Amino acid sequence: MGPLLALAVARALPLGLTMPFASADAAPAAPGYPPFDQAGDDLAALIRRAAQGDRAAFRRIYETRANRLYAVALRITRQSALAADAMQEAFLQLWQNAGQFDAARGHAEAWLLSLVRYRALDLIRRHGRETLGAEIPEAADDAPDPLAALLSSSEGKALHRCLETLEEDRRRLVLSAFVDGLSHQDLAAVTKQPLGTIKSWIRRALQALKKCLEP
Amino acid sequence: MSGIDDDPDLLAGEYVLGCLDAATAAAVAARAAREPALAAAIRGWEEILAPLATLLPETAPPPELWQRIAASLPPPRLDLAAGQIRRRLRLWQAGTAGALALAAALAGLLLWRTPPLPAPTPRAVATLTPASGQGPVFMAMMNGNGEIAIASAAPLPVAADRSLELWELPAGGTRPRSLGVLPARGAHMVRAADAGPATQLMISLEPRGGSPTGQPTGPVLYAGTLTAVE
Repeated sequence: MGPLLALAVARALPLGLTMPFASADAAPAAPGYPPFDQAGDDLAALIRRAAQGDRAAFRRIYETRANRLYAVALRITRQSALAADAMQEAFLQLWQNAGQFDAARGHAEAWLLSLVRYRALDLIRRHGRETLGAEIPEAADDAPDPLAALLSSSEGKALHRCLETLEEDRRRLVLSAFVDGLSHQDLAAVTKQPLGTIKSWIRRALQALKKCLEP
Repeated sequence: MSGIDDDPDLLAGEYVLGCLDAATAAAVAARAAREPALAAAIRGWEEILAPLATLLPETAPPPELWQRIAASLPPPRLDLAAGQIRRRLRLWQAGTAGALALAAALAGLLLWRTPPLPAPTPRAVATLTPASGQGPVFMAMMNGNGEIAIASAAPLPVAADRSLELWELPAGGTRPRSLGVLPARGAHMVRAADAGPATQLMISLEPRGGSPTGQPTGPVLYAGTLTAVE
């Protein structure tokens, strides 16, 4: 009986198959990440496939979005080690919670960006930031329009138009909070304004943005 | 009072901006988990503000980051169609060629040393291999009455607040059916409702006492297909 069972077990295991996962786990080809919206790179579709355990789709998300997301994490944390931690935690969360993403209720790119931002914000809240400069850093202060990059998408265009309606210092507060991850307290410190004033300015800026963006 | 201070939409906006302190941000996240309106407001602000990420020049992460991420992935959760399960099972099985000798040894062990063996002759057997590719396998045998004896090759450490639950997925089925929670050690007998050759057996990690929903809620840790013994 023993040999018979062993034979049956052997038949149940298709030993000749190779492991397609092995190649998917290798490092992505170094330079030249493909552009965002290529056919097949629709993020919502990739997330759906990842939710079903498709590692190739998951890796594709990383390949096509890591540079943008890492830039966001690095800007918030100011430390490459923390930025990498934020990316790892966010992508682990993506893998585990991909099934919870509902394309009908949200935009995939914004959802993924938020996973990374919240992890990065958590990390600096827990570990503190080593360098909080005396002035609010600006992305491209010398450029004629530091917000010009927004004009490349329709959502960005609307946001650009509405940010332009804010007073300069209020606009800077919004950008510093979102892009640099500065807290109310940080913003009060760098602008030398009372905390209550900062909170009130930000709320009013948010209200104005919302009103401007409403259809 | 419904002034600007407690407007949930503005609170959501502050949360998404990232300017709240740790305690307030955690409180907002906890509230959003209970309050769909707040969660929706947060999603709204996430979408409004997302284009701001394009203001930063793209920056390549350290080259080893992908490897770190890939190495940290647990087995995926189970919410799959049967075809996908089958495909993945083949992959898992292919990855555990080293388990073959152990499975054969366990078959002998079950046959001669385990009292509640289905008698008299196994009709089908399965080796349930770990999704992680590492660790002991489970061996299952089914007799002609649909009784299945299952045992692991070695005791499995399971957290005190977790249980391992056994599931059957008959060929062509899409919803796994629970065959109950497995004991921490030793061989275990269950009666399967309609298992037969080609039925997939799976073991998932569940809250203590088993899945509260009747379907697997945790990761599938082991899987294998019953194969007829001729």
